[in-house]
Parts: sequence; C-alpha cells; structure tokens
Amino acid sequence: MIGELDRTKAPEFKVMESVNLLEAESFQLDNGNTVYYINAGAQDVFRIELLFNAGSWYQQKALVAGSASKLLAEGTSNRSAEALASKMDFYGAFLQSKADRDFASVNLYTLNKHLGETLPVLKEILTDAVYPENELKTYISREKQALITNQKKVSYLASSNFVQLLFGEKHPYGRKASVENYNSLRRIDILEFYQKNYQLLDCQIVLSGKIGEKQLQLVNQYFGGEDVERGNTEVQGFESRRTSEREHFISKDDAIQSAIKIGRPIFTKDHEDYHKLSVVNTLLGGYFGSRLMANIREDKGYTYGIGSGLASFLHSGYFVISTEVGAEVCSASLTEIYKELEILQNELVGQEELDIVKNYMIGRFQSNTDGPFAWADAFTAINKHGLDYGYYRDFFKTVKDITPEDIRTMAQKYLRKEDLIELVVGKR
Amino acid sequence: MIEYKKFTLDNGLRVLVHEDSSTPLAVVNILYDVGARDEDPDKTGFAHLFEHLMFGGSVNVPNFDGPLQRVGGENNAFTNNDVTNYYLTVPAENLETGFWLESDRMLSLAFSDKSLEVQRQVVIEEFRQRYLNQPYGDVWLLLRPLVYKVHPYQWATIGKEVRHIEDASMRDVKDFFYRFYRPNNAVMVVAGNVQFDEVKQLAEKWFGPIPAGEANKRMLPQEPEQTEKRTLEVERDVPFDMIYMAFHIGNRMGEDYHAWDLITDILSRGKSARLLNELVKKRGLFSDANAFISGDADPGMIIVTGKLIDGVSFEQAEVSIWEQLDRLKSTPLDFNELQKVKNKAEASHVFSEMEALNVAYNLAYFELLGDASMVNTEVEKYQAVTADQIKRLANTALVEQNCSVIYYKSKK
Repeated sequence: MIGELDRTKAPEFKVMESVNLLEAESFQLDNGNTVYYINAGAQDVFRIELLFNAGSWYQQKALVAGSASKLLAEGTSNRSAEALASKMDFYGAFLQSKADRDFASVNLYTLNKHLGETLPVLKEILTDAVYPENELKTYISREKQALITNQKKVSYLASSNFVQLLFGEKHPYGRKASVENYNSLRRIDILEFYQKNYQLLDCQIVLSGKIGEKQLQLVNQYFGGEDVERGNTEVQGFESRRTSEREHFISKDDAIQSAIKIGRPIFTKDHEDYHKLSVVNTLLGGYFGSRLMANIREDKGYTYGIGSGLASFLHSGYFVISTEVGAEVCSASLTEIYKELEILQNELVGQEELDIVKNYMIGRFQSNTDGPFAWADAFTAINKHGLDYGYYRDFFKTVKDITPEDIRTMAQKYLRKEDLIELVVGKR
Repeated sequence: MIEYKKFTLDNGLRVLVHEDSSTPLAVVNILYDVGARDEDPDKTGFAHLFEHLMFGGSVNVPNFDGPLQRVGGENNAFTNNDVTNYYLTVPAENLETGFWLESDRMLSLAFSDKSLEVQRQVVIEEFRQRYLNQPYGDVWLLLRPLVYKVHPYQWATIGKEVRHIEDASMRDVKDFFYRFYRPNNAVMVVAGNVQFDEVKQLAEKWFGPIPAGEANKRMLPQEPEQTEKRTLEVERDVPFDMIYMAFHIGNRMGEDYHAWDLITDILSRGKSARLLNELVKKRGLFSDANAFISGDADPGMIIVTGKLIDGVSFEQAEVSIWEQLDRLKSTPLDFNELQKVKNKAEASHVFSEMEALNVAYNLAYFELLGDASMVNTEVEKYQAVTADQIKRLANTALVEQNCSVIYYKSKK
C-alpha cells in the first residue's frame, strides 16, 4: 500500500478568503444603556463583560487604576473579601478583573443555573466596593514583592523600559511601576477613582454563552434600573516623548541571556495601513514559520523564541520585535534581525511564502473566534475602539488583495532601522 | 457529556472521534505514550529534545509547519514526565493535510544532522530561559531529586543538566524514535467538524500502512515509602525567601486522586481559600501561598509553597503551614466548604468542555490511562468525595516522615 500512496504530495486543500462573522445582537436596558450579546455554543454557560473607562490613562496618581481593578472584589459595605469570594466560589463562578492603559474590564463566568445568585453579587461589587485598608496593605506587600522579583528578570526589565523609551516616563503608555509608587498608594485615591470611573451607565456590556430571554431579563433587573449612575471621567491629554537616542543598553552582569526589544510607536487600529502592516508583521515575526523564527531560532539556534507584534491602544500603539538570546550571541542576533528588516525593504516576497502568510492569518482568525466567548472578544476588540464589523471585512479584503509590492512599501515606510528604537538588557 | 466513537487500526493505533458540528474547525491530537520518565538516567531531557526534532522534517515532507500554515492550520506540542502530545487545528475542510503531515512523521523522521544541531541549541536556550535565568527557576531541579530517590520522576522534563542535551547523538535519536514513536504506542483523537466515516477512511489511508513496533512494557523502578523527613537549604540571588513542602500521594488513576485535588482547592483555589486568608491576609506571614498536585500517572506529589514576608523565619513559616495541614486532620470539613470546591470543580469541567483542543486531549489522555469514557465520570468522582476521606488522607500522607522541605534562601 505504501507504493500506491504518494506521501511527497500534499493533499488537495481549500483556500479560505474570509470567515463567516457571528455578529453581536443588541438589547436595550430600561435605563437606556445598550447590552450586546452573542448567543451560541452547546454548554449552558454565561459570561458578562463590563468595560469601564478606568485604565491608567485616567488616573492622577501612579498605580491607582490597576489597584482599583485588582482590589475591586476585596470587600463591600456588607461583605468581606472572603465572604464575597466564598459566595462566588460556592456557585462555581469565576470573577476576573483587570485594567490596562485604556480600560478596566470585569468578567463574570457562571453556569446559567446559578445566574440568579451570582449577578447580584457582581452588582454589589460594582456599586459598593469599599477597598478595606487591611486588604490594601496585603495587596501592597504582595505586589511589591512581585515587582522586586520581576526586576530580576531581563524580560521584564526590557518590556517595562522599552515602553518608557517609546512614550516617555510621564505618558500613561510609557510609565513603569516603582517600589516607591507602592509606598505612596493611598486608599482614598483608589476609592475616589472607583467612584468616578466605575459607573454602570457609562460602561460597555457584552454577554456571551447561552443567552435567552431569561438571561436578558436578569441583566436588566440588576443593571438596567435607574439606580445606576453615569460616571464623570475626565479625559486628559498627554504628549508622548519618544527618546532621541536610537540604541539603549541596560547592563546585567549575571545574565546568561540578554533580552532584546526593537520597535517604534505606531498608529491606532483605524489607520488605513493597519491591516497591511499587520500582514508584514505576521510575515516577519507573527507566526512559527516567520522569517525571524526561521532564521534566528530554526537556522541559528540562538533563542528559544523570537517574535514581533503590534500593540494597539486607544490613542496610539507600537510595533515591537522581542526575544531572549544567549548572551554570547546577542550581537550576532541583532545583526540577523536588522538583516531581515533590510530584506523586507529591498526584496519582494515570493508568492508561495505570501500565500502561506495569508492562509495562516485567515485560519488563525477562524480558530481565534471559535465559541461564544471568542466571538464576544472579537466584538469587544472593535467596539472599544469605536469600530464596527467593517473592520474585519477590511481585514479579509486586505489579506486577500495585498501584493509583494505593498509589503515592500510598508516595510520601507515603517521599518527603517533609523526609525526603530533598540533596547538590550543583559550583556552584549 | 462528551460523545465519541473508537476504532483500532491493524498496526495498533487507537483512534477516537468526537463529532461537533458547532465549530468550523477540526483538531488532530496525537498522544505518544512516552515521557521523561522513560529516559535513561544518563540521558535525561531526551523526550523533550525529541519533541523538538519532530518538527525538523519527516521522510517525505521536509517541513512540517509550512504546509500546515498554508492550509490555515497551526500546531504545537508539549512533553511532560509521562507523555508527549502533538496537536493541530485546521479549517475542517482541510483535515486531510493534518493526516498527511502527522502520518509521515510517524512513518519516519528525516533524521537531519542540521535539525539535531539547531534544536540542541534551541533547547539549551530554553533550559537557560526557563530554569537558569529566572529567579526561583531551578527549584524543580532541586525538589524532584529530594522527593524521588528511585523513580525517574527525580528529574524534570528539561533534564538534569545542560550536558545531557549537549551529548545527545543521532543514534540516540533513532533508537528513541523506533522504540516509542510507533502506532501501537500512540492514541489519536480527531475532534470538531468531522464525520466518523471520513476519519476512519483517512486513518486507514494515511496511518494504516505504518508498521507496528515492538510492544513497550514499561518497567520503572517504584519509589519506596519515605521513612523520614528530608530537608534541603539553598541560597540564591533572589529577592525573597521561599519555602517548598512536598508529600508523596497516589497516582492519577488512584481512588483518592479527586480528593487530593479538592484538598489543594480548599487550601489555595480562589480568594476564599485557606492559605490566602489565614496565612497571607490574617497573619501576614507570606505574600503568596499555594498548594497543588502534580497529577502524574505514577504516584505523584502534593506541593505547598509560600513566599515569605521579610522578617519571617523559615521555622515560623513551616510551622504555620503545618498548622493548616493539621487542621485538615483534626477538624472535618463543614458541608459548605466541601460543596464549594466540588461545585467549582464541576463548573471548571463544564467550561473546559467548550474547547475542542481540551476535549481532544482529555479523551486521548484517559484512553492512554486505560479508558476514554472516564472523561465523563470526572464530575461524579468529585461529587463522591467525603469529608471523612479528606480527613483520612491528610492523616496518612501529610505527615513529617512523608515530607520533603526546601528552604530557598535569598542571598542578601
């Protein structure tokens, strides 16, 4: 039978040019706020995500936004942190709360059969958090230790210093935490931030899972009344101050690997070149078969991993190449990285490689949007930037139409060495 | 409830199919019954290095990743002490590409010298990145040989030392492949938007012609019962002291596995758990404290860890952990606390069934352990755990002569 089967020949396959979008539906609460939802999946589960304008962009003092988020469920007027957690845990529910630069996001995952018990606890947390002093104290001590431990890692030093080089130490996208910041963290600042920025009339609400009449009614009962308020977030403007030097080095004598970051600030998601640059990024360092991986890991063995990515915030973003390499091959790795950037600017990518990238990107989109929670994430990812599903249709079209010339043009426009900031932490 | 159907090819490859038309994807998961425990004590880290070589080209297909990415697929793999697992997802229409690629590397690798040299370097960098260039990164390299004196769980998957990886030869690679990477030593699960008949036909076409290997009977030395407490003190350039305490427990298939899992949940799962509330918040001895089980196929460990607050001594830290363990021995759990961790286990199980990759791996793993249908009895087993059982286990296993402790000291 081996003779009959030609194993050197790939089976026939179908090229996908787009993915059928599962779009969110909407529902209006009694108080006028809109809830979006994705009803899909076989399991009887429910997720609610609430997105507040409560990222570090809005804070007046360092660490306040992050702390307001991490300590959100650490006590209300009626219940201690332990009591709140016991209640959620008893019903097998998971509460997650995190803040980034622009938003604070609160997620509750629960089985539908317990929704009537878990939603009121969520509301209690979102309307009556009190940030007890003793919980803050424990939190500060834990976070300080974690920060000091992180500061021993070349990867952490590289990430935190790199954004500071891109945006400046005073800019919300560039600030990094210090131990002193934790020492001057005050309960009253966190509480005031919470009261101002976590308001249920000003948040984006997205539900996913098995969502029917009953679930919508319960959400309306707890989050649709007139008892919730509008926030008064002040939108401040910031000027970003990019470093004027190109090369930066932080020495760490005991490092056996060096961390490398190379990149630049870049536009937001609504820019006309965004999807094109995103294809270039994938080709260069966005997947396992990328040029950086093929060269620096799979050919030279300098690293366990290397990649590139685009970070998108509300007001700006950045492009970055990241890796950790053996300290003794650090400068050889830098040479190879710049060589790959040169090739992108000077040579045209072959059609076969470009087809792999295109098909990979559509396939990746499909696997990233499998299931109700993933479709809700896909909605949030555009909604929070004020974009609609046209964004994804543009993405499919760009991936389909992009040419080798377009790729070269993008590389010439955005990836010139003189425009890129380089940071090495460790030894070189 | 996970539905599946099973068949076995003549060469011994077991194939399980889970149909789910709600996803546009197909998953192919191949689990090989080989892990770091099957290594020679002088050639450790080999199963994991070998996993890297599985991506370095096979006999008829020079590159594994490219053709998969070309059809919109992606893949990865992991190795642990028990097993090595390879998984890929593709748009369901392109399922056959997965069969083509996976069957060719089961048929034979290309055994390229270049691939061995490069992956050896990559794995050494992985060793450095994850174990040597990280604060507390070497703790598993210290804890395993303290807990295990005979059983091969005494070394970590990455290996005992970098030298073993440097010394690996092409001959070792070939021997390993023909011994362990045979169809009769693997389980394949195909899940997602697939049809049983289609999978059966594809499996016979692509995997049917691969010859079986000799049966592999695993004869590992079993760890003797520990008779006295073991301690180790090390000093490293880390910012804070840490304590690690490990105790021998039963294996994954043992009747007490689910009770042990719930014990660690009581101690450290979520914000209502005991270690956080008693030792971190109330007494302020640790900035962080955790408990977990290793979940191994052979008898494993329960591990308790704590990161000490400056000024707290190791002795104080250890005593406080013993107090929490002793509490499990003396005071039966009240109904609510036990029901809480059971409900949490049930909910986690429901959420985990939403991911096709998870479902596929769990089916493969339980099949390898003896019976895939156990995937559907997990929740019942958690619900069946009793307060008496937990008390009995704590009294038997959470005792000094079964304990290994590491004081991981900060060099200040």
